[in-house]
Amino acid sequence: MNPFTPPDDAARGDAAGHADEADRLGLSALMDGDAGAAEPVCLAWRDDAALRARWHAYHLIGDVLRSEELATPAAHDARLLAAVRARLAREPVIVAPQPAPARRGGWRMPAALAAGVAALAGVLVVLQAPDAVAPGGPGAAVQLADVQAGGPPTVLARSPATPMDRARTLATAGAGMLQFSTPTRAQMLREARVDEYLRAHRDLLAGSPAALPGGAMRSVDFQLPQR
Amino acid sequence: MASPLLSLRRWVLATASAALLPWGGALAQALPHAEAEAWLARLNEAASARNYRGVMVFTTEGVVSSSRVAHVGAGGEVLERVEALDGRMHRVYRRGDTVYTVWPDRRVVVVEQRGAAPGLVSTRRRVEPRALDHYALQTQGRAHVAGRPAQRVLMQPRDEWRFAQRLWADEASGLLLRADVLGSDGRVLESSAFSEVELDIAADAESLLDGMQPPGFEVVTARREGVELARQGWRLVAPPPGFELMACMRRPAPGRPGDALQAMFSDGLSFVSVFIEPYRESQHAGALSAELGAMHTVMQRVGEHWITAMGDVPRPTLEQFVRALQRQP
Repeated sequence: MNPFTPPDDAARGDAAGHADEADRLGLSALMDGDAGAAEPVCLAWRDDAALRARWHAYHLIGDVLRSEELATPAAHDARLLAAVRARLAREPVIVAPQPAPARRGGWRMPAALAAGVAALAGVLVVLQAPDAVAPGGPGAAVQLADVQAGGPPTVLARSPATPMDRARTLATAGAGMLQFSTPTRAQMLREARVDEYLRAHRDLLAGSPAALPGGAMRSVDFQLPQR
Repeated sequence: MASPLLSLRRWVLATASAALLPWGGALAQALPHAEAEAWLARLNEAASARNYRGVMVFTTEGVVSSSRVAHVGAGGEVLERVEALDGRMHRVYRRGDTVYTVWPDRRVVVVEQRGAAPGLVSTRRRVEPRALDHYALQTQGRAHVAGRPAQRVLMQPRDEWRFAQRLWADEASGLLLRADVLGSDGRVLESSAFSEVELDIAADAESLLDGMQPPGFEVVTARREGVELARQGWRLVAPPPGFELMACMRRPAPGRPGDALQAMFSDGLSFVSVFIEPYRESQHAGALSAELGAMHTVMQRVGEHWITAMGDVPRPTLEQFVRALQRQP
């Protein structure tokens, strides 16, 4: 049985019956990143189809709660897994692995999402700030403001300069917060990180702007034509 | 496929250029406070208490998405169904304070009790009267939306912390038919509108709620817990003027393991969410700022926390939120 096949009703009942409480708790702990629980649960996962079904269901639930972007059909996962296995089988054995070149200042994006992003690109204007965000205690925001005071803020590509600048004037002390990167680094990307928060924000609104229904749906989940 | 999208894009361009026309002069007229309040009251009443169904189209910078909406409010309990017509299929049902989201391809129903988080009742879909403290309501004559005569008003912000919104309300019922968010240069940043709408439909609860709990679907309860922001150790020092805390809750962090605090603020018309999470180097990449239509987002690390502020407001407003957020002992 393919571990990523979504359980049908019978299998669901089976899973509830056979996966004992300890295994379920272990699975749960594993999902929360508790490595201490890993070994026995992984063994159980290997041997118990019901537990594998449950593992997938847990992830599915988490995915759906967090973002519908992640809610791909189970068959997709299975295909991906099969493809990865096939590819791994073809990979030559690396005797002396080279260290991967360090990526500096690049985009960090979940690999699974990266492939899908290109088709969706085109709308969200994102600028990534340099990683040099001042760490540390309660004074952090003040430090950031000081950094900003050193020069004029870089304005987001395609966004009108005036409202920001004027509002900046309104926000008197320490006008900006972050030195954002230059427009040459502007990227037209649909950023998965933003999407998930957008969904959470819209969920609560139940309709915005103003009193229109359907607000939770807008701008979150669509496919764009290639430009 | 290309031609309807092209024409929609033209339509977006047309509305955008129409918005650039001056709206001063004889057309615009700022309503006295009492009249403006009455206007909003009618809008709010129609949105919750009328029965209607239609197709809602959302557009922003080249993006179009639509959803089918049905709403029954007359006679007590509010029932609603919203179905996505583009992208991933899902349906959202509201029955009073309970929200069901059905994901057919995953065979999952997510159930959420909105009453659990005070201030976030699902039926609260209204423009609060206090919005008039921060926006001047100006009438802008009549226009048609979805074939219905509508009255057009502009909610003009009184300062630069918020965007203007232009609203079209059905003349006969007061139902909001269209809302545009405008940049300070008058450009339409995004638009939500009924492309077709039918009012005073029969209150057939059974057919409206059909498919709300399909047999064999896994039912999942959304985990959200109302909490107090101050008790969580946070306070706001000089937040953007006019924004009040609507609700605060603990919820699963969007897109990653662990929990996040979500605080929602509103000035009566525009909304801002502030998410607070413990900073984790492995999960939180560099700070970023993003915009999608009127929706702006600012994410960055502040001390030991990762702060995300987003809403239909200018970016400096979000930055002020991040700046205002302070840890209290």
